[in-house]
Amino acid sequence: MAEKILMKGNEALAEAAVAAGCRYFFGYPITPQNEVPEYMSKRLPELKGTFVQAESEVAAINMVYGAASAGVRCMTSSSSPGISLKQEGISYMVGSQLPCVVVNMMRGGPGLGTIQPSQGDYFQATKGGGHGDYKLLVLAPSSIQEMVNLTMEAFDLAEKYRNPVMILGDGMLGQMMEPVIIEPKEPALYDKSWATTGTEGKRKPNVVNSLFIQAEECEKHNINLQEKFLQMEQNEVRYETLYEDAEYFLVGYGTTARIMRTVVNMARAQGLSVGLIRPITLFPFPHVAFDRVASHAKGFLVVEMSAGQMVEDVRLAVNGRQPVAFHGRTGGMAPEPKHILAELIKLMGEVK
Amino acid sequence: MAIVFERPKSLTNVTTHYCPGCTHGIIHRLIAEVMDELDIAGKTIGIAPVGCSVFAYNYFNCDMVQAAHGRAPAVATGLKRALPDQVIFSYQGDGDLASIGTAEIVHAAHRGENITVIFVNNAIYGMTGGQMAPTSLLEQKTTTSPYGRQEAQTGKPIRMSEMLATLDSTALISRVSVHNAANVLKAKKMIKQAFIAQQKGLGFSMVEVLSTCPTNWGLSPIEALKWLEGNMIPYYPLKDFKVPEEVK
Amino acid sequence: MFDHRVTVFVGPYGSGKTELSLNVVQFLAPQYHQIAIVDLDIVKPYFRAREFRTKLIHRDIRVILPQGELQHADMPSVSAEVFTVFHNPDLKVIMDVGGDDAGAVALGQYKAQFEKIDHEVLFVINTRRPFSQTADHLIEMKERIEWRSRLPITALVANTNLGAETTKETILEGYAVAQEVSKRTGLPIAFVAIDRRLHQDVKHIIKEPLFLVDRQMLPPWERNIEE
Repeated sequence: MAEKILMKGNEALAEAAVAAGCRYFFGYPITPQNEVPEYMSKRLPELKGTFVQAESEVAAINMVYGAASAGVRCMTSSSSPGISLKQEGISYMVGSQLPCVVVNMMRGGPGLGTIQPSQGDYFQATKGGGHGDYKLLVLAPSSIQEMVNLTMEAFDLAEKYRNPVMILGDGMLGQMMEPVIIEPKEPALYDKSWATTGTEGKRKPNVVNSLFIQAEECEKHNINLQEKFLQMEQNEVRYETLYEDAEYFLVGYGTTARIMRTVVNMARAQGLSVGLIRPITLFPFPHVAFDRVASHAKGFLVVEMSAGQMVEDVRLAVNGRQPVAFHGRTGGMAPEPKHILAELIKLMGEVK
Repeated sequence: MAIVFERPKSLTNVTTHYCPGCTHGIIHRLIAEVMDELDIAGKTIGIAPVGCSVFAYNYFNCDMVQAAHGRAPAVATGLKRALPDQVIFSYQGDGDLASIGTAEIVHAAHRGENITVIFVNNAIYGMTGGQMAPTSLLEQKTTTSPYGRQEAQTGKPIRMSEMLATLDSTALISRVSVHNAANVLKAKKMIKQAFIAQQKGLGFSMVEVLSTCPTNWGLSPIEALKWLEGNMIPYYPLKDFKVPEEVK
Repeated sequence: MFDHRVTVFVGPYGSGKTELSLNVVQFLAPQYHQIAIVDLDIVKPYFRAREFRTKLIHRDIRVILPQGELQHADMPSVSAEVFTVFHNPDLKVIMDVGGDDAGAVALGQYKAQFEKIDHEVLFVINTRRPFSQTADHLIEMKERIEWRSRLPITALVANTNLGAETTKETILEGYAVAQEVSKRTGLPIAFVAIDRRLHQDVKHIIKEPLFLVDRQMLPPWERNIEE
């Protein structure tokens, strides 16, 4: 499929997973991500892969746990309420050091909320999400092509760190259509000697396990895990900056960043010195993007489709050097360019 | 001198944590003997639950996966779909399978997953300290039914084998016991048939094994075996609910 | 084009039925005293015709969709008002149906009513969509849609595009596949839908009628900028 085709975000993500070598998908229906399981149910049988519609998100993530134990590339996808249900399994996968890709096409919450897009699961995605001290690598695409590229990379990263990787999209990215190119590539080869595939009498049994009943052992295990998260912070930070020499920066990810590009153009057309910082990895968070502009930046405006979550990480990154303002919409509403621009101009007035 | 009794190769050479008189050890041994006889240890992946048998991964001499509480049938599904030629079994207690994991067991059975489930029913939560299980008998005293299990508050004990046998997709469902030598032999025969059913691709097989918990029942090992026979079997009759002709 | 009282758009998922329905109904509105668009999409949760309700009502277009807050739900509910389509012989109707056979099933309940009215069922083709790239795929989907909707398809619409990145070549390549489907099924191509900006590039090459489309189904960052 090397030619450009017009795809919905959800479909493109599913095909990208296939192109990255994923042949095992376990999911449960929930709007606005249904095209992912629907696409996989059509596509995987063509490739002699397996699609299972699980009885629940809880079961789906545990099927992923089983397939990942066998060392195969596997994925599950859901949207906010379903991701809450998967948290137990995700925590177990981190604890057992199993690779997988988990997709969250966020919708408005809390509770049943709305089926419209949201970014209200940032804390859940980046600060652990389930029980225990852990992190997921969290990738936040802002276009369908980037979603394709990051999804393919996610499988490699998951195996590299033996840790779940989350693609954090939202309903808008899942539902909108853009032309994309998806080029299959050979999966990178990572050590799978830990996988439980049967000893065939040739080695000692492998055990996939997150239980370390002795406190000393469990602490040692935790220290090892933290070492991996530290390596992610050292090696995997990704972000995009537009107009790094600007005085003011809009900060946002995913769909919001797309809206903010429009605002940057509007602002610059008015002669305002405005740039954009767009985190692509939400964990690890790109602190360096803020350090790089620290000497000349005068202020930051964080925009999210939430009541303010990533803004906390931005404040930690800016560390009091400059003011950080926030504009958010919730419940499935998308921020509008004119409102963002007004907030930006207000911030500029306060600083001067 | 001829060897007349030894540890099956499919059991590791360690002392288990099970209490004296607990029949988990017997059930482990039966599974290991079957693995030896079918020569499948090298292609078997077992799944340990949460419960007293959480450490089963230390005792079986094959690849093992430890699962979250109740989720073993879902984990088994993922493993079997990825490794259709390998033998996958889950080992689950009654809290795991009949309480927190009911959705997972019912739907693995309903999909007819080609896996083998060993369901150890001792009518109590062992690991967490003797709380009431859905399989605890009426009037049975536990740490969360200190006055004895009352139907008005907690209903009547759940019979999983009967329930799963109603699903058309299940291939083999049987309830056995290990309270005496004759029944131990019958139990082993049924466990072997369940593994053969999987090897023949017949679909979902589950052997429910009635088991004792001397410590939490507050009985000596012998008394516990008698209690099982006198109280559990009348409510949980030993029966082959479904056994396919191909494995007999 | 559009010389039947009721035009129904069906087709593979994401082939462009809603975008076409919105464009067609606004194109026809000045010519009709009574005109309506029916949103029968039970499949997709976003980018539905119902999001354009206010704009359409301003142009005297009746918008028939699920009532009240149900229009924001993701349940497959259809409005009882749909029956107006069959009972009002003076009403010109454009009907937007959900994608694939899964969406077309919503038409099945109106089989008896459709038999009594003058209508056309147009199968929309975008060959730059997954599972739509060959005549074989498209013909299989056409048959599945007819089976589930219980309505025969009467003509094809060639609508191959890559959104904002559509070129003359994209259109012509899709047009060729539509011609093959036409030849193999015996169905005529009712019209070729093209982005208005590419009109000059293809107007001399395509023999069928052309319908010019202005993209309206835009993500939030391309909408309302000037407001």
